[in-house]
Amino acid sequence: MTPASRCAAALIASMLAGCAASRDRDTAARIETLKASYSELHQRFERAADKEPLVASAFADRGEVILAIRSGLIEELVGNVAASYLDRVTVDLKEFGAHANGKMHKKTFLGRVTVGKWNLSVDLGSMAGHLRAGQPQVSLRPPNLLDVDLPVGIEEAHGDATLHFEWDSSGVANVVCNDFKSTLAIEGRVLPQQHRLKGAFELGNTGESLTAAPMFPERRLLLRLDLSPSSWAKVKEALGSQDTLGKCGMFMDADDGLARLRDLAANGISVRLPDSIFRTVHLPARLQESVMVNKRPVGLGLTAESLRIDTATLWSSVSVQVQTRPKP
Amino acid sequence: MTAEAEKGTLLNFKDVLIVVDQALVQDLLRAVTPMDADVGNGFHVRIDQADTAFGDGVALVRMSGTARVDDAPVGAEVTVFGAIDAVQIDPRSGVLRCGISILGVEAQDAKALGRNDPVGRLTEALAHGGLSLLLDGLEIPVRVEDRLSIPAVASKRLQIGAEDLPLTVSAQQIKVFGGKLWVFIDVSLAPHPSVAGETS
Repeated sequence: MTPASRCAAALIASMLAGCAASRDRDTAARIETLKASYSELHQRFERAADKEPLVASAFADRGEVILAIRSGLIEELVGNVAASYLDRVTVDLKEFGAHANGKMHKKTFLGRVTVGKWNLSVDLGSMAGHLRAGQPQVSLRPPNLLDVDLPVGIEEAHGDATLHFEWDSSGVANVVCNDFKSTLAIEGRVLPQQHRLKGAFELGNTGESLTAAPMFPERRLLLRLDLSPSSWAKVKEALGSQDTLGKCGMFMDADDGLARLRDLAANGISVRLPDSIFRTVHLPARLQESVMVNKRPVGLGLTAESLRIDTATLWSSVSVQVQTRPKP
Repeated sequence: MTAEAEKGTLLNFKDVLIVVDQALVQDLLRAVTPMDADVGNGFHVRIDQADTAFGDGVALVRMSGTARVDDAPVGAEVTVFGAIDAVQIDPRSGVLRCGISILGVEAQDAKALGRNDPVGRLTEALAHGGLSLLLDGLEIPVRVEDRLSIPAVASKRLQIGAEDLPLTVSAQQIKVFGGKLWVFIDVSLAPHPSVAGETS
């Protein structure tokens, strides 16, 4: 008990004693001394408390219950939540693929003509991206946001993939060059790489709880891939087999096709993380819709009043209406 | 508390501060009145009215009613003065529970309660377990959980189990001023075993 509270308690006790017993002179004098001491402490306290910004903040809101959470704790908690979304998560790439297409032009005596269209696609089969979240940077931003900058590492992984290449001759090339399709089983490799995912959490006050709802509108990661050396050799061989005069050799260049494939792998394939991976969480201090008082349940009506960031603290307030029952 | 206020450290809470208005505690107590019990030393007390006044370090709870001895037909009007002197987090539910101690008892007609300092004996009875017979538990409607739960995902393409980040929580101290009870809570993240998730 603090000196002020001891003084107040002693004052109450003395006044009680004064009521119960006869008021002799000593008791009266003691009460007067305590009153003077109490009054002086009270005034000093009021003057000092009025100057405290945190006290002013607490009294700024309506509501019977106020929850104040320090920015450091919220940043730590929500940072861990954000990291857990993507830490040790495996993205199955079988439904993802890489695609590229284009037209091939050649200068001829008729001028520059389109000799064909090519289409390249890679199905990623059994390949997977293994994600590791790093330590996020989190910061409160008034009025109710938590900005998150989350480093995401992707570990090296190997898997089977399938390469499809199509050549569709057109114009003059059609006369001398057959269309062709080629499908190759290859071995792919997800390269180790680092990304950053930026977003925010929107803090909300429902009355019953404080929520942190993730907002990560840009959820795409560009996964950079490569093929094993033997697979590159296989692709080169496949393209080279078409590089003959009877096929498309006079128009196609296997090395050029290979270079385009390398570019495609190096640029990465776009993997959009599902929205549902980012889940709303409730902060661990909540209000109850009923409490036990003297072993009886008492129902409560909760109404959110405010939510704001102030003095490096998240302040929220709730009005609580006690639902009374008819008296027995 | 005055010295802390003068140093500017009155509300130097580390993690979480829960502020409860005296009006709420008063309404909670009034919701369960009347309360009555045999409180010990042969006294029976019935409380019909409760008021609270939180200020200057004391969360005063004033309960008014009648007290009588055994089966005596006539009793005395009494006011029981108590104070919330502790707040704890219930280890099972996480709900804040108040501890109340007796400051004193005032009786309008003490003679109706017998001889030999009946008010003193009633106060003693209440202080030694009688109060908890009269008012067994006072919860504040705030729950501090010992984990931060991340819900599961169960969709056609995505299955992720729920995950809990375990927390260590403890009520450190209370302060009382300005008509409010101020409860200081420490919260820290505890180490936890990681759980793998999978998405496609």
